[in-house]
Amino acid sequence: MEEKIKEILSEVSGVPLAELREDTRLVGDLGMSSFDLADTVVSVEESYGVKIPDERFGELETVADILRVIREENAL
Amino acid sequence: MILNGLPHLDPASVKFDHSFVFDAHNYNRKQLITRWRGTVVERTHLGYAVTGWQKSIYHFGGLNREVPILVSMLLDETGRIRSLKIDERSEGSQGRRCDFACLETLCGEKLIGTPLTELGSRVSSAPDVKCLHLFEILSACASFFGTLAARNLTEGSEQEYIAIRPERDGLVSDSTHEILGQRDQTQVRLEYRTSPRLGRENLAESLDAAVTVRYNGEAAFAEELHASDFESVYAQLNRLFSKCHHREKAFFGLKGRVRFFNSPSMVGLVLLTISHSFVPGLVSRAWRIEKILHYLQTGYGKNPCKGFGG
Repeated sequence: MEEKIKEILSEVSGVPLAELREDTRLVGDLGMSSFDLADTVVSVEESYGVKIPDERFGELETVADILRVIREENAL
Repeated sequence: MILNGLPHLDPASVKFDHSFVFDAHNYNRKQLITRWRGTVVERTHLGYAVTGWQKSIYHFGGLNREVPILVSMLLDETGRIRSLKIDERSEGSQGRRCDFACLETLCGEKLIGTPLTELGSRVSSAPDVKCLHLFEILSACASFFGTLAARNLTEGSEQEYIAIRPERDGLVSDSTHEILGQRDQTQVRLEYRTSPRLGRENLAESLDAAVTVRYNGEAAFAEELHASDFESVYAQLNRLFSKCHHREKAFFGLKGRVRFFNSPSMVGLVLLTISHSFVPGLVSRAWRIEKILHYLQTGYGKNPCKGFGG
């Protein structure tokens, strides 16, 4: 799952996959906007059939946060 | 020219005469927001000529405003920016605060000598060029130029038209996008179950609505939006337009971060339309809407514009 999430982030942000680490910051390092974040969430949801509640968007600051929230919400 | 749909564009004439943007008008006041945006890349004997524009037309009660901005760049053979000009007829949404002569100097100092495809390394967000519209236009130019390069093309054009109108219990946005001669259409219809609650700055702080989306004339998807605070309203609208964006990218065979789309702006434009339908007052409505525009461009507690002279 981790690799697939990074692929999605690479696709949305335009940053090469190899440059993404778990502590990469979505806004600070990847320059992602709120639309990019929603784009990522929608892609993740469509890929895994999972749901990330809107109220958890604020927690998504790093790549690791996305992985953690998906695991917590969907027990993957 | 009356701008009531995606106009015919003659890419060959774009670099010679920029009037096509400034002479386009939409007097249909039922359309609260019209936005026409586009990019043309042409091969020249020294390299490339890139022209990008955005024209927004607002009809919000007493606030009738046209915001046309056109940027032209010349690139060398390698795609490096040699010159950058902002047409002197350009106007920003903050009136006199938008000094495009200063912004042109600023952008030139920052970008001349930079490969257009690497624009993101110098300009990653609107504050980098002090103007949201300018950021959107430059990002679109860079992204479209990159898309052409990826397809081994040296010339091409794309343009997009959106119109948003209120309906009795909701709103409808229609958009048409033409990329390299291929065209798609997206219609988003939002029907309020209950009236949105407006909060701080008269922005929607609740949303209970049914959404139907038609893509290229066929039903694409339908969903319910339920949000009880501003962040959630914003997130749900972002999700909605992200789904539309995914369909468009797939239709046009696009991958990666494509910036020549209005999709990221749609949330703000829809919020403006919702506010217009429910904001109280007749005389003060235009003033209130203008304040919302300021907020959407800059956020709470900041100066009305990131431009000069304000």
